[in-house]
Amino acid sequence: MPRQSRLPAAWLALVCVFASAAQADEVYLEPTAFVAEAFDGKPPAPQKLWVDATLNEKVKSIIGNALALRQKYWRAGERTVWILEALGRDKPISAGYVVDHGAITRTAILIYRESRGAEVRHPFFTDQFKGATLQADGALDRNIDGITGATLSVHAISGLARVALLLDQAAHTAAH
Amino acid sequence: MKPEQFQMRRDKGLRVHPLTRWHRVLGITSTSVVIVTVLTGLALNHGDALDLPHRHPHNALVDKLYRQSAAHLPAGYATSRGWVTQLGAQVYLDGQVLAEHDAPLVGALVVKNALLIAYSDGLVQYDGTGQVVETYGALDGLPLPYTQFGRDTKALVVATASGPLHFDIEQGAVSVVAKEAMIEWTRPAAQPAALVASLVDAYRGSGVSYERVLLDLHSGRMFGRIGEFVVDAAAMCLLTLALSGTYMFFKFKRGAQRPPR
Repeated sequence: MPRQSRLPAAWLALVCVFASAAQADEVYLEPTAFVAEAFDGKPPAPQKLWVDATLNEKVKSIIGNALALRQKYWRAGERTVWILEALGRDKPISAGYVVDHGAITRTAILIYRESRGAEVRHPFFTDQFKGATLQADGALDRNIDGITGATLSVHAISGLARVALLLDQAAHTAAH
Repeated sequence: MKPEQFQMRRDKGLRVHPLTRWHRVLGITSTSVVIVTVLTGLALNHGDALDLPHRHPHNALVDKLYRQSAAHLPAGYATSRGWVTQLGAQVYLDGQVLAEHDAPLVGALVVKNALLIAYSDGLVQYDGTGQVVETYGALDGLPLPYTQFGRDTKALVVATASGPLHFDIEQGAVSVVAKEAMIEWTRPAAQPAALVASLVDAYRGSGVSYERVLLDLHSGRMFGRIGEFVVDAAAMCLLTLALSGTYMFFKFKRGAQRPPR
């Protein structure tokens, strides 16, 4: 095949690969790996938090959907780890949060199912949550910069950060 | 490289550069899809002004297309709580919407009054109102994806990527199934005609709107997964045409003289 003819063929092949890849769920980090990393490879046994109606109403007002009544989490001392899901535009985004002494220490996008907005997985976005705490009114103590074209994903991840902090508070209250 | 140095072919008396041929082929191939996509896109852009969400087409072909998709209802799983069926992302319990879940349904069981539905990406326990009580998955030691769901005399059984595994829902314990012959897998079955009719109604709602039809045409979804890929391909053809057209404009602006007819 002449060189000039190969070029468009290669372009089309690239396009087909791109088109099919855009449809698939992207697993950026397995949830099990996220939990393991949060505890230096030695995760404790999961615990369960009963999400009562009051707490679930708060969660619903933040992310638009209620959580499962029994929420799984991992805890060692003051550190808790949460794997949560919220709707982006059409599909749920799975994210992991590590909370230590009431502040987020790590945020990671685990599974991204939307076709657009996956930029939220990058550290330049997720690192904004480092050190974030919950204010008395339930808002984060800082502004999170958005990403053009990923507004709904940004809202989902920011909302889940608030939910993770709420659940952390509830878990500590339940433990005492 | 000068344009004259490229391989030239005589085609109806014209010298044709290979890129020009590709440009033509892509143009012709994608034209029909691009026309449909552009026209539906224009209409959708003015959807509110045209009142598309509230107008319904009365067209035999459209009706047939949507009836066909409803007629291909997947079989349901019979449980003591009722029939569990999935249509698209909607999960129904006896014809009523129970939940939304994208991943395919692989089985359903009622255990100690709890409704357990297995999807390929996890096991979900629902209460009587459809509220999720708890979800189970890879974090519980059940590697994804799941292909079947059932039970034997000992416990629940999930067919996982690592083979069939026992799952004790109360203890959260996972163990290997010793005797696969004892497993009773939940199997899909044909649902009663009245239930199928109510599912069709629920699926179709008050009727298909122009907006839905145009959206499905615009995205190619009207023709399933293949339709989506065709529209993707046409979009990329359009992009390629723009790039190749721009390239040819600047490359052949000077120098490339067509021979006289």
